Amino acid sequence: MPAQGVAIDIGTSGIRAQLLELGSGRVIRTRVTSRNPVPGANVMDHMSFAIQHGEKLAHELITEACTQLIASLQPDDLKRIAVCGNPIQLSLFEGIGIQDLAYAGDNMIDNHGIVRQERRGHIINGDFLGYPKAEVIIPPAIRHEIGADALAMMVKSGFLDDDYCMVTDYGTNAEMALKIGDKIYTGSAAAGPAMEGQQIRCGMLASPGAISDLVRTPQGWQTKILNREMYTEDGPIINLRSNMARNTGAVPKGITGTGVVSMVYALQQDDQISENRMFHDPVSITRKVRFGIDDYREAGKAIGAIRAGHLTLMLIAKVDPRQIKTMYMAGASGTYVDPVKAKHVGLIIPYCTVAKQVGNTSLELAKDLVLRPEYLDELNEMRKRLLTDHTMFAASDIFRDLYTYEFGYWNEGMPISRYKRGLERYGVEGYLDEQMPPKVDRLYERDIRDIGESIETLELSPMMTASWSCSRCGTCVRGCPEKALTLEDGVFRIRTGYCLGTACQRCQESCPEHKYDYSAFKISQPSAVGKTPERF
Amino acid sequence: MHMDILMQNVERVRLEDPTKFNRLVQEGMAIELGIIQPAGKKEKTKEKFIAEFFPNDKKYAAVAQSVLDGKRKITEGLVKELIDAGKDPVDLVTNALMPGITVQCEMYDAGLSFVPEILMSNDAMQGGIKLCQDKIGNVPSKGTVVSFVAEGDLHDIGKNICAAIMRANGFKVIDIGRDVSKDKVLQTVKENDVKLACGSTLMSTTKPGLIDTSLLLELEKTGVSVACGGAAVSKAFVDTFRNAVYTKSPLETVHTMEKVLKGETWEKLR
Ligand code: B12
Ligand code: SF4
Ligand code: SF4
Repeated sequence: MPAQGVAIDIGTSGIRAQLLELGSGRVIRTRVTSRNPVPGANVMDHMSFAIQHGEKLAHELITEACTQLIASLQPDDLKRIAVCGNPIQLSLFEGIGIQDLAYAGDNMIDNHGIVRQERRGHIINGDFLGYPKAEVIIPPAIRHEIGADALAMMVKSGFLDDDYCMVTDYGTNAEMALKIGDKIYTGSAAAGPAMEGQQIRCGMLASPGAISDLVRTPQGWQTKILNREMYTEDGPIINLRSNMARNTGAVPKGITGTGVVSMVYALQQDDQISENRMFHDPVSITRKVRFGIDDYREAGKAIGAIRAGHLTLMLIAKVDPRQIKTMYMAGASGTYVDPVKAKHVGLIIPYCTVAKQVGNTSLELAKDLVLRPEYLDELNEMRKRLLTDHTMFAASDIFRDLYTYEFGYWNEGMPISRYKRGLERYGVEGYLDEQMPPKVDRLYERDIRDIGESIETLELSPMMTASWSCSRCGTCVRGCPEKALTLEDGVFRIRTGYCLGTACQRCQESCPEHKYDYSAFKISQPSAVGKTPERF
Repeated sequence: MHMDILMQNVERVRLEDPTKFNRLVQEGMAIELGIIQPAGKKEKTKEKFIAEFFPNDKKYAAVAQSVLDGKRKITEGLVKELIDAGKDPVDLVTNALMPGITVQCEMYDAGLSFVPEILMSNDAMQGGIKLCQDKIGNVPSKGTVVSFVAEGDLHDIGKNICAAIMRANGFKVIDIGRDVSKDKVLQTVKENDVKLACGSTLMSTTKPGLIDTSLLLELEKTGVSVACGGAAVSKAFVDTFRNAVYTKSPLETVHTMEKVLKGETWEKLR
């Protein structure tokens, strides 16, 4: 029986793992979790959890989740494991410091003696995952805001073999790259989590019940809602002009990133935004699911950062934007968003004629490393090369200037004509006029390209437990919005993958006796099967 | 508006809130029912503001106009000419440069101009002020603030907007940039006649910098408090430490500064 390897992608909204046969490269099976085990809904939350409650604890949570996931793949003769993900996830996984990722300026890092981690690609022993016979390959990060996941989006999308093209990961960090001949320009626009459905009043991660798209029909905008298999079903039909909804089909729980883009598009199409106001604020899809001007502005801050980032890279590269015609769209949002709508709102470069949706590239990179570990040297070489043409948008006056226009447009209702006038200075005044819809090339139906024999989404999550004496009134348990907290036999348990972490803390804040202590929680093994938690 | 859209609007109000509907019909509030688009709201125009604030002197008005247009080079050229012609630099600042930004600011408040334009006018005005300063040293102002972004944070777009709006309202702003340590703020406060510090941060990890700075300024008995803003900051957060107030928007910072100049303390301002 040939030796096996496991490829792992640690993402903000879950971990994906595949069992591979070394040699043939065959995918045997795939297992994914729908949650990242570190409390928090986005990578910044994960980071603040680690800083406040211990990097060691966060490290243990990630390794525990990975160990569980690997076990569920039932490997035999496991020789090699490779991971991919953003620098924060990979550092937590490996157990190296993340303080240098938490701050941006040099002063802070120098004055407080924070260690700058190297984050070159390297190989460690699999002991900490319970596989001492396996090696673990950790790919390099280019800079702290451009990680192995960004490298993956370049090498595994087709971008590198193309020319005069651009690639963007439509996630929280919005890493982007532009290729002109041999030169690759990179940057990160830090768009924020709106593209993943957060910071939006009824926003949610892509999961069952989320509105993921709005499609125009003669009756109104047909909402598309994710079902349990993560395919879409028809939901309510809404008329934005009258703000009336017909409640048919599936019932939405909230709206996810791709749905936010569609909503912005729909509002613009129906001329519902005027001078920084919405005619109906908020529009109601159901009584509970609404979208208002604050959500529009929040989405605009993210869309604006991406649009400003794209143009900044082109201006720095001194290339005529009309020459850049291909756009590779990476990340979950990049894979599932409707490129025609995305282009209309400004997420895709204006002169793009072909939009290629490339699926999850991180898992693909990890797979390559499992099958061909020597590829790591190539990646380290590439890292050196990319460092030279990396643009720190933080140091770019062009980015700052363009983002100010974006802010005026999205948040203050500045007419687009003023933005266009502002672009005259850069000689690209027509940039915002081009509105040709791109040809869409969806390279993969789902974001995982090859699932092997089977794929399963596991509801696994590490547990943290704590115990103290109190009246057991149950207020904390009842108040938990994610049902992540239980109390049984005097022991408080948090399913960490479901907990919102430092951004929430409702359990602690609601305790009438001030006994609840979130920082007392320690990692534990999952609770024995069959026990029913106490109910309140 | 299309007729059916209009009727849908009316129908919606009637269904959602029948009492309100009846009241609105009786009062003839067509606008709220969505029958008539609000009109005549834009009574304020650029021309009106110009007529109100611009100087009569043609040459002075040209300076104000170039500030309003955000043209730094032109402003500098005009100011230089006037200084060479023996005009009083202080008078130039108050009666030629300031009116330009004042109009921009009034237009901004009225929704007629936007952040990029404020920043450009600010830039043009700064160019002019610098030339006047070279001539006479310090230019009089309503009071001085120091503006900074907390240590470890490079997000300075919001801070720049806030600084521009403070200047447009007649305050002198010493902008010490981003990623600024508490000691640097203290030093600036000690070396200048600063009345208020304006600090901001957009990252949750760098919020403690604002606490440290506020406490240091109090410990060192500078008598200067910190107005805290930026997307990561909230009133609830600022209320957890001493010597600071939360200011949501740049305009609130202007009001806060005005009150500080009247002698109000951070305790009172909360
Ligand atoms: C633009 C942007 C950037 C730009 C900043 C350019 C610049 N020169 O400032 C760039 C791309 C460089 C950047 C970088 C990073 N960013 Co950034 N960025 C943003 C973004 C998209 C918008 C922020 C912004 O400028 N808003 C517009 C301004 C006008 O708003 P504002 O600052 O809030 O100001 C208003 C008010 O708050 C107030 N105000 C502001 N300042 C002050 C001051 C006073 C005194 C007062 C009274 C009022 C006031 O008035 C303003 C006008 O109304 C946000 C995401 C988002 N959707 O908001 C992320 C965001 C702020 N960034 C974030 C992060 C983490 C980073 C990075 C660390 C990412 C990384 N992984 O490396 C890097 C750090 C820098 C680096 N090493 O390069 C996070 C912070 C998360 C958190 N909660 O801690 C955010 C929220 C995105 C996210 N969730 O990931 N970013
Ligand atoms: S920790 Fe507080 S809220 Fe929770 S059961 Fe005990 S007393 Fe009640
Ligand atoms: S209430 Fe407590 S346990 Fe529940 S999500 Fe919030 S922080 Fe986590």
